[in-house]
Amino acid sequence: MEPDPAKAKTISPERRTGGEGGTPFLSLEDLRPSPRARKRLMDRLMPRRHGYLLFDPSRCTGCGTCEMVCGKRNVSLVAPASASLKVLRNEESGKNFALYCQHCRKPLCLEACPTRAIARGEDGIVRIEKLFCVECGICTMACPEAAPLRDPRTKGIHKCDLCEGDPLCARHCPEEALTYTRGKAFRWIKGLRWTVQAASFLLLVFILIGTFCFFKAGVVSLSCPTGTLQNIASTKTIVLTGIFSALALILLTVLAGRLFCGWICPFGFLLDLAGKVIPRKIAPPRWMANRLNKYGVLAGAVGGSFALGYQAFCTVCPIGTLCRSYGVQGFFRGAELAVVPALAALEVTERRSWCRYFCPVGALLALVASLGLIKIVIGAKKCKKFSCIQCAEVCPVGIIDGNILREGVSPKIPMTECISCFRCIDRCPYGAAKIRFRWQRGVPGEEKP
Amino acid sequence: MSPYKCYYSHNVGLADLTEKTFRILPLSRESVREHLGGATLNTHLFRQYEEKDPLILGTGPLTGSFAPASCLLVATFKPAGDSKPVHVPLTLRTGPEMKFCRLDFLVLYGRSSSPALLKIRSGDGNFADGAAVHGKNLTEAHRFLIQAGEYRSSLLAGRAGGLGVARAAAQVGLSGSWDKAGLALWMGQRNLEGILFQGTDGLFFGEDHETLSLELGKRIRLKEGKSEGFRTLLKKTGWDDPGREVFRGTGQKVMACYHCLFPCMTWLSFSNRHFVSGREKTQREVLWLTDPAGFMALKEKRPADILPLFRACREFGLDPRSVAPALDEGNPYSDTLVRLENLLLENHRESPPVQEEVSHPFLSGMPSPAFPGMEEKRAALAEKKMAAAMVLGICPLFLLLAPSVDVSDYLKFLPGEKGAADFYREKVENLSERLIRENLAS
Repeated sequence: MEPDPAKAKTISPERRTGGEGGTPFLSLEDLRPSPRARKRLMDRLMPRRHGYLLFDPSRCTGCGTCEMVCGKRNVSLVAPASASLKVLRNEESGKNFALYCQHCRKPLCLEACPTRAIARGEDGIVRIEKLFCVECGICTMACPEAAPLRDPRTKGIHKCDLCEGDPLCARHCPEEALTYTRGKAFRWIKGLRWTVQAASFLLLVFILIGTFCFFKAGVVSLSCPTGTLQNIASTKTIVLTGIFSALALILLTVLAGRLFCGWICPFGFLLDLAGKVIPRKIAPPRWMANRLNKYGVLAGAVGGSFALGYQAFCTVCPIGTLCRSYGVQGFFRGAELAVVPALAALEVTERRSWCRYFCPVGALLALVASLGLIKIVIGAKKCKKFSCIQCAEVCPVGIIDGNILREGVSPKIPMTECISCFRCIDRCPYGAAKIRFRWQRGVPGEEKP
Repeated sequence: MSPYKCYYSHNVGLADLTEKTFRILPLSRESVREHLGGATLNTHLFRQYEEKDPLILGTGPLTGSFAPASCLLVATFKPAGDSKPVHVPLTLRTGPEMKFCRLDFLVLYGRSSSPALLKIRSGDGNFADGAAVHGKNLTEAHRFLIQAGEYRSSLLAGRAGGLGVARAAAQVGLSGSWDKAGLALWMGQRNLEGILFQGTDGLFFGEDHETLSLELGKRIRLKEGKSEGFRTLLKKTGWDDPGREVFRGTGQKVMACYHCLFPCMTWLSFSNRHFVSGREKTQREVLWLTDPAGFMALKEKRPADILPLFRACREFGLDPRSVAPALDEGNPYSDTLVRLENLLLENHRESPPVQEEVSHPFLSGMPSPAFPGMEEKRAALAEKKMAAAMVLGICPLFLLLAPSVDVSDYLKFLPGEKGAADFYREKVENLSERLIRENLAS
């Protein structure tokens, strides 16, 4: 039986509310937010971020279609010289380069504009408000990319505004050298890493209590390599089974870098959590901010064990302490466990300060990682350098130098210091940060000579 | 019907090389209505200034617009020892840049007393001293011009043209040109080293042009596939594949002219190590492949060192097709290079040999649509399309390489209201037939 549309229209407001004196009931209409409220809600839940305009120089044929459509949008004429982007053609090298606004996270043009005509919208797009622009051209000088362009015809300033989210240049590019993407960031690595870190923490601290330092199941035995080293130093005896049991972590480091530090270490997980809540307001003292310190601690631990005749560092090792802390026996060790919050407090200076400057386990793995099979590279061509710097911001051990990126140079990432957390790869919106084998030459996006 | 108010700036530049003056005259609407543009309007202007033996550079109504491959600049002049004018299609960005300089046509006449450069910018032209470019190899001249000042497109007489060599070919940037008729010689004999364009203005063409261009682009991608640049040009114009051996170890990149959706040029870099010794051995040389007739003529004679010899021809400003018969097959590379330099000094005045079967009957240097294997009927149709392109300001080669695009597709880009399409169809057909008839008669 089909519903009668005429009847549906005659439902009175009283009936909808259950009649006079009746219990009001909610219909689907009442639950659905108004369009405006819905937009507010959606903006809050999913703030609209602009996408990224990517340029692939190897695809560009230099036809200039992008300049045509952009010029037309700016001045309603086919006038490539009035475009907000410029294709620089080098006939000799055969390389074309597109110059356009990168919508920097900290735009220098915005700071330089004397009339504050340049503003960054909530959507992240940096725009010039024509009403306030006095066409002084300071922004063209302040921008490291020289992206605001002066129109030779009208003498006004044009700057890319991504066509409000649908760039015409990308739509018209016949070779797809210009593409507009909502970002090439993986984003799933973050979730995976937190899950693995939490699972490792649960496993090592609550289930396999105290087994990080040494674990044996049948013929399989695993041990902490730093602990094994101290053990050899303290007993002055080389036990082959001990060495073999330490090899698992060593092999993992050779294959995938210091993956243990970034993904498995329970103390590292705790530091990551602490870093979320502890504000970083104190600069680390000079003596502390030296990455060679951790090698000193490692040498001290081995030397101390040799002199004292027992594994000196293991008594205060934060990883070992944490792994032995659960349960009645562990919890009442008290003083030993105090080392964990004490070291976590170092987060007030820098993220993962302990791992950067002091951890002897990390130091030993760093030595092994120098022989590792993989490296992380940041592609010279794809990387937008000064306009982005997101990789430098997310790096927990601070090995990606933002200042080098600001100078427009691709940074070299030392794999001895990298904890293989892959945050840079996860975050990079341009897909410029990649994992490469050690023997692979060049960086992605760079053309072969 | 007044369909011509937007597509032109209605300016004709008059450059007197003798007096080194530049002035602008209005382009009459009647002339545009009668001849539309391109080669036909060039011929009309040529007749007006015939006694001055001029060089006419002209654009079509669609040059610089959203119509695909709207890059054409037609050079019309009378070659030395010829009685009728010829047309040389110039591509890359010369046409649009001249149009964005607010000049639709440019008439050059007279003779400069010293090497001169003509700089066109913002509806004005200035003469500059060209001594620094005179006698220079192409790359050297190109570098000098880039350092001297900003310009977007250049037409150079080249080293051979400047020396008055009959085998010279004009150069558009580093990419060469279709000049086989003596444009470089015309420029060289009048001490005009080059013309530089920098278009800073714009023109209104039509509101719906972007959409039309997108639709046409989709069709080209669907029917013609992806262009491989120069190799596609060779394949589609009836040449044999030069083989992988020739291009082994080279870096290649497809390059396009202004708004070209099916590019036919290839930028190529190759190693010098097999051909030279000493310090130059480690260098990689750069070459733009654009001229199939010249390339294949050289390849037949010198297949082993085709790439460096082709580049040497470009550097010296020589036409490879006319140079090839003068080279010996068995000589080593270094001797052949010396022979090429001697050709510059010999100052040959005789006309270069023309291979009728491979070149277009009247469009200088363009491949003929009647290549072996092409049906006669289809060849005639293609020739008509190429002639129509020369009138409208479209690259004729594009219409030859992309048969899925027809002249009627371009008529949609022309202005006008209801009934304009029929008017244009008839007009373009008449003008292209006239162009073929007049030129074939010569």
